[in-house]
Amino acid sequence: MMIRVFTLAVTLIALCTAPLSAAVTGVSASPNPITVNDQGSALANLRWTVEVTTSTPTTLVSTVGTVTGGPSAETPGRQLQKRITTLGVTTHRFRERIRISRASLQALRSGATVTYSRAWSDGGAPATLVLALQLTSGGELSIRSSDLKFGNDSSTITVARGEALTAYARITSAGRGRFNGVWQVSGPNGGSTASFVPVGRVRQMLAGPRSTVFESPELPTDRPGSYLLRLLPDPGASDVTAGVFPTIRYRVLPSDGADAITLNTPSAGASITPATRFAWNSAAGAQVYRLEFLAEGSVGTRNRVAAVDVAAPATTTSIRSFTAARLARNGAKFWRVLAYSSDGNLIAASAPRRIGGTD
Amino acid sequence: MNRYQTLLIAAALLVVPGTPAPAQADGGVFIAFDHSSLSGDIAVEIDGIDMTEFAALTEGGLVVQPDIPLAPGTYDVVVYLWTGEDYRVIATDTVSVEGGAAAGPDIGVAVVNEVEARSLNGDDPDIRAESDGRIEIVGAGGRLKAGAAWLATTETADQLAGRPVDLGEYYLEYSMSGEKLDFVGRLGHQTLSYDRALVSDLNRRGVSAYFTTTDQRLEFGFFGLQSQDAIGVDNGLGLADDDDLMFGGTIAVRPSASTDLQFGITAYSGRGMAEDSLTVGEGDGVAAFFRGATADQRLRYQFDAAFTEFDEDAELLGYSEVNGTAALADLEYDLWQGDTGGVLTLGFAYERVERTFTSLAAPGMAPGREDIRLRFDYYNDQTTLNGLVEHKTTNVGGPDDEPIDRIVTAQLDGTHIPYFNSEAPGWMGSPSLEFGTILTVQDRLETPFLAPPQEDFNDLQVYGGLSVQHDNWSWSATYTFARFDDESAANADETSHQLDATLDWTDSDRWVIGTNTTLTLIDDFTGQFVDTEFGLTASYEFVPGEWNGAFGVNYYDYGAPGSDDGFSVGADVTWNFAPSAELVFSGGVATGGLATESPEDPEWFVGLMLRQTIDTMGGVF
Repeated sequence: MMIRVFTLAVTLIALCTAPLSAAVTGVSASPNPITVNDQGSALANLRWTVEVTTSTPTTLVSTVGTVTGGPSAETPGRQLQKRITTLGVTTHRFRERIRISRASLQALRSGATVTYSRAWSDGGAPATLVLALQLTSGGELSIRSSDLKFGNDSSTITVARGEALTAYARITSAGRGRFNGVWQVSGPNGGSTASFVPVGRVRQMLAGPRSTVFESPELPTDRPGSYLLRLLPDPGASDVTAGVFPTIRYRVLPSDGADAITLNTPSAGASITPATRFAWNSAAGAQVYRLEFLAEGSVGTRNRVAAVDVAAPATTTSIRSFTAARLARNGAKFWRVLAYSSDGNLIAASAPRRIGGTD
Repeated sequence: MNRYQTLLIAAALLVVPGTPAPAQADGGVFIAFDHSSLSGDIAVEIDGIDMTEFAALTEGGLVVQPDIPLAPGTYDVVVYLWTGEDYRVIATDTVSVEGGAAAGPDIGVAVVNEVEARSLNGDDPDIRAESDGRIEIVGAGGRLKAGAAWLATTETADQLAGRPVDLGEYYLEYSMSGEKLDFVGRLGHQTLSYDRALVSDLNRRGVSAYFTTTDQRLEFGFFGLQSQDAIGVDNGLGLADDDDLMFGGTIAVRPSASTDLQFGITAYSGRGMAEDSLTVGEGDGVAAFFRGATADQRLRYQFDAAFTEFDEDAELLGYSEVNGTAALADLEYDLWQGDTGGVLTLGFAYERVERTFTSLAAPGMAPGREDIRLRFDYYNDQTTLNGLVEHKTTNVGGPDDEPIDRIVTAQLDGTHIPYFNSEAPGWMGSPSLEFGTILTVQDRLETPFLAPPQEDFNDLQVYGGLSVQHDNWSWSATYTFARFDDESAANADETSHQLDATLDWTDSDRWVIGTNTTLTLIDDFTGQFVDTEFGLTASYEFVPGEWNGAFGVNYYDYGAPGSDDGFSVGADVTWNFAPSAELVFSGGVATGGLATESPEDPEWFVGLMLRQTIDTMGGVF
């Protein structure tokens, strides 16, 4: 009898303290369906809300997000996870940005059913949510093309140490979303296996079909070697595909180049007329400044369309109408200032600055 | 302020036919013409360079003695006379400058050769060899230019077009100025823009030629280019693949020599993949344009209209041929011109590009919109202000079952450079301010049956920044506020505050230090997070010209759950043991999102590299 009572008591105590099983009890996402523009490669911002019921600390995880329905399954969504220490019913939110490839969008345009799905689990049975993709004239930000070039319209350039260097990216987009671009540089040691580090940021709202030009900050040229440059749509974008967000390279030579000249006016993107006032900072030792206009079609070299020579110490000038006419006829794209010493040597130069048409 | 001489002359103007002028042994030129009966201000160009500041009238002509002596060679000279309304050509000449033996072609080469042994996480070292170079050639008095870049590397991920040795961009260009016709021909990589709609901002490789009469009344050109952007020796000329090739041409005339008004037409035809497609398409198009300037160049105008036909999969049956139109207009007027060069310019632009408009020769054209833009630009020595108001309508020429949105953007950007005593700048150094705001509002205009619901939003971005330059150091700080108010069903509002700061210092001798910090506070539907990014680079010359070291730290801390934080630190020591060769010892550790080379976290590496540099370019080439 006593043994039965003891056994019953132990059983009752065990039942009272037995742990409840953890479970994902609800998953929702927004937007649902995912509206995408069919022009280019879409960058979709997704917001997940996951409800979990647990009686012990656990980890909520979704290992991958998968796009199906295209020519092949793709996994643009990386692992999302969160440690849950609050017991009972809790709600957890996640945000992610994924890239829907052109192949999947083209399948969608051809009438296929394309979906994006994630399975969420906290150790128990996973809960999966499947989101449909829907074409629209608006939708999430879609990158149609991204062209990345240096100031001479080429994808490769050689500069002297310390020389001013910038690049620009022309992005054609549709849909709406914030472009949180980050300019990244790798080098000069380690080749492309070395880490890319940020050198500048771009945050701009893009909406509707448009073409936008982003100019990079001054790129590092203080140490010789080979460098790689890219502009990613946001710092977490690990899915970098050549042709959508290209990588270009530049070389820095060990010889000290011309000192940098700082340009003041006009700003990048300004139209050029005989009324335009060009101004720049002086360069020590300059005998003559040459205000130079560079043409389109300048891949690999800086094709001069027209120029104006100014005797130092003057650091401002304007152009005459016949020079303005040359610029218009020959499609001048950039301008810059060079400084020469009394013996004709180039001693300082500015980076090329774009003329007009930044959007 | 430009200086030029004012001459007192009278009566008729003569255009003197070009005959080689007597050489000037001291790097100047003499142009002979009779100026005894002319009146007005003289200006002169040599090979397109305005050198009026260095010109002086002499008996029987004009002497140009630039402070940068002209190199031996042949030059085209144009002399202008100010007529009270504009400059007019009064003399042209081709002159020669002597000064030694005839110069051969200038050749510049820049090559970086590297051999590196790199061990990752203590594994056996990988050996990487690479040669990355460029050659530039200028000859025939500057009329012949050529250049090429190459890359040879054992690193598969870096190889161009998948080959260990390959050609990057290259070009060969010849230009010639004749008595009646100027010519520029180019083979290789090039950028073309014949108009703004059909053949515009085209950066491809192939062949092109452009002709201009010397009086600039007639221009015409043609091209054959690869449809896709490409590098590498495969299809090196860009003309070998019929499924990746387009041809086109243009002709433009200026009916009157007394105005800038120019009319022209452009046409193209080709096969290739459009920017948003994965299939080879076929299409063609035609465009007409006119442009010019009037009212003393204060009013400038340009109009373009284009029509295209395009089948996204050529003769296959998946897609049918569609046609589309584009109309672009742009007007600019200098409302005010100050005595010291300030200018206020007003602009109006209208663009309507149908969704079905596709030109392989205008890859940057965004289709499916109607834009109306008003803008103003103000410049003076200290301040710039740029304002824009844009009204955009989407889905122009698109399917009837897709929605139409209206997007209105108002933008103002400015810079200001306060003047300080440059000889004693004080603690503020040389400051410059930048500021701006952008407001974007999207509203749904039409929602057809079964179309997605509205995606309306309001977005406001405001920024302000200050940068200060001193002799040995500089700093900058920029604050950006952004507020995204999502009025769609998602209601994904987001507010962010971002501070970017940089600090750079050098002792002008051995030390160079730079830092950058970005702090971002984000408040969205998932909560409130702070993202931190920090970077530090430092270099020091232990023995100038022989030993130097560099150090770098990067730290990322992203507040949102699941984001890849990261940290890395790396250093290298370089021994420049020969004029063009150096040994580089490097090492580093990386964790989290910066540990990208292996599955290990943290990961570390050590490396030893031999680098040789060949440089005969001598700066800007």
